[in-house]
Amino acid sequence: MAVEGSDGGLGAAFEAAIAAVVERILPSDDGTPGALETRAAHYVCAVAANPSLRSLYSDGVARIDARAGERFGRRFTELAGDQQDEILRAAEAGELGPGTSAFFELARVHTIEGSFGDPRHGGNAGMAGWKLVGYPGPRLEIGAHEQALDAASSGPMLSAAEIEPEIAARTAAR
Amino acid sequence: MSAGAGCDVVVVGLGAAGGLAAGLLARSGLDVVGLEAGPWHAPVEYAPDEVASVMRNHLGAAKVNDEIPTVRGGPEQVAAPTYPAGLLMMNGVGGSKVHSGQLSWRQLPRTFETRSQLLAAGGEAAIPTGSTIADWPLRYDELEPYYARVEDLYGISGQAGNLGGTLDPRGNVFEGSRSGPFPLPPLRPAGFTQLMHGAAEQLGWNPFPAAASIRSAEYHGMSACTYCGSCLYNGCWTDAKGLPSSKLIPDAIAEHGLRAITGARVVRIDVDADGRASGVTYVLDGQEHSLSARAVVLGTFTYENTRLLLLSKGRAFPNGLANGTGQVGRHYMTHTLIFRFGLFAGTALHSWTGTPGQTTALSDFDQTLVTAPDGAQVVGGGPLMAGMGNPMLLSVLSTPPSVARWGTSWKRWLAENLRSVGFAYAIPDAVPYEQNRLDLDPTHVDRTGMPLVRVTFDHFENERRQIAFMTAKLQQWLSAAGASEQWQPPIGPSPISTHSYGGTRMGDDPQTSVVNRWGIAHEVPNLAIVGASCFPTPGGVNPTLTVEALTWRTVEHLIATLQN
Repeated sequence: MAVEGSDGGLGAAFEAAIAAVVERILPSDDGTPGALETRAAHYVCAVAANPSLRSLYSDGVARIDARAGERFGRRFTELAGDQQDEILRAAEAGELGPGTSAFFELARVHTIEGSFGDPRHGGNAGMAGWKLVGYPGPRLEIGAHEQALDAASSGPMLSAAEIEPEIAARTAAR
Repeated sequence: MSAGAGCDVVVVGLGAAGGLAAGLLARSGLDVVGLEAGPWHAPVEYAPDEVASVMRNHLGAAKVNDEIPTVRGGPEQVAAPTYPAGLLMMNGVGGSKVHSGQLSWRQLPRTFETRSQLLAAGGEAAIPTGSTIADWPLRYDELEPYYARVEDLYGISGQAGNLGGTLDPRGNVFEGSRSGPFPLPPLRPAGFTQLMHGAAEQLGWNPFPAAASIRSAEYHGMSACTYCGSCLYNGCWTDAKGLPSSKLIPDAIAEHGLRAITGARVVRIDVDADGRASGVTYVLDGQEHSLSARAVVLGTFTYENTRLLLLSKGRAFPNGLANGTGQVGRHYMTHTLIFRFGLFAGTALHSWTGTPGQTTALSDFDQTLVTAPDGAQVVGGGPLMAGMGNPMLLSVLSTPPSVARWGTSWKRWLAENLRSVGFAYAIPDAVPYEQNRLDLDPTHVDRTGMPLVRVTFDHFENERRQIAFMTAKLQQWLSAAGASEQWQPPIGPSPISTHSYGGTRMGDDPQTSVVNRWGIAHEVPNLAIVGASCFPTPGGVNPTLTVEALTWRTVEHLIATLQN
């Protein structure tokens, strides 16, 4: 199944594998939002389609699929969560061949960007990642009371896309 | 190739050093052209978006990709290209200062005479093996008036600790004597910086609010900080940082005829038959242009200052401009960043708000010699600092080793603790070594075919002891503040850094330095070089204010020379 809304043209199987990796990095199985809810896979697939990253991702996916076949006789996407974790731990340790550690690190960083980065890049849907960790979102001004220990944050959670016009308006007069 | 009109002075680079130089030179009545490889940036480019700024370095990638050095640990190794995409370097009017954290330190008086102090303390045995450590050719008192001028120009925020010899414990009582107070009060404290301030007092140390090149209030029509939390790796949307691009350069263009040409990458400094600089050659829109000038000011980043000199060859300088004694590229240093996190479980610190300029600092350990935990004498202490404005995504990437790096337990940790992480750090003074240097890479070139600069850099015994010393102090400080857990990333050499020094060392002896005490090349009387590349030693503090003060002093000397 292709990742909804992805325009990377990576192919459905490839995108499904990336989604499975991303959803093990930030799982949703404890009842709180994870990569599934932040739509991090949508972000990561778009990034993985970048010509400079594409082969690192496709090689990585090929190697985790190969290990899944050797170990469990199935594709990576068909495995149970703990089986996928076992293979990802091997990738993280670089045990699946050259480049697999770099592949995993890149997937981890991109999952973070796609879950906790600004939603205008295609991830962090509904700002679910920010809500998860208690980050109130970017602001143009922070009051002294908001920097006190244990201060509660208030105000709307905004994307940079919503803040940019405000910057333009407030600096236009200069 | 087109030949442009001449001018009195051409300035290469319009950042903290070159931008200041161009503005001041034009203000003096000279005909000045400033050439900047990057563009003018607009406030909307500084929207608070950490994917764009912190992760993709959208402002800095162009410079990093064009001037990216290659790195090796020692002269027997082959250097490899590096991809420090997050490096805080950028092209543009205002330069890398646009997205720095803006801490604005004066050097302590002791920094200017490190070698003399070591010799007095322990003779030649106190000089680290293999080092080329030297005194500065000037003393704090000679630079003090220029520190004061820069602080007044930009509206530096801070609290004086030594006003004309009278100590004030609200400020840094270890600082050199100041001729006047700061023009603006310090940036406001945050809950976390107050917590760290109290912990330092409890330990018997002397904390104070660090000075910042960020305005705590409006100043001469220039705007004030809003503590938005998005200024590291990013420009300031409201233009509250002390930058030449805010007022100095626009005023110099409007009122003093400064010609600031952006998108112009200088590829060499031209030399006449007498061995004097005759101007520069630059590329604009793919076309080479030459510009003649009575004097040249080289004011790019540390790496590019060395690269441009080595690329500027001629009959008089077969090994590169101002390099007759082989000194260009030598005495290269970087700061070691010793960064330590503390978890204050259950307490929201909001470290992602505010600015790195909101910092509690202490200089109790900023001495030429400090004692390591194993009793060994270590060259080069520095202040301890704890601040705000740490990008949220960097916090996510900096979880403790006690926690899994991914998976459900990692997620739960982030949800419970991310808002409770604070940090403290130090950047101790550095030592130049014979082996650590810059030169041109023999194989790797940039996309225009010009050789990249090659960094040869490693740590030695003294640096390993510095890390142990500073780590112990940071640990003590965070513990006193109540940190429930502490951790730090692995700390080793930082061969490429935005705190990089040397390559065009300042000194009285042409055999061991490139520029004289005024910042003029020993071998080229009409070539001034400005920037941290001139520092003989860096001190344990952020470089920019000293870059600016030194630049002002060099410019004043150059103006006097040209008007004679």
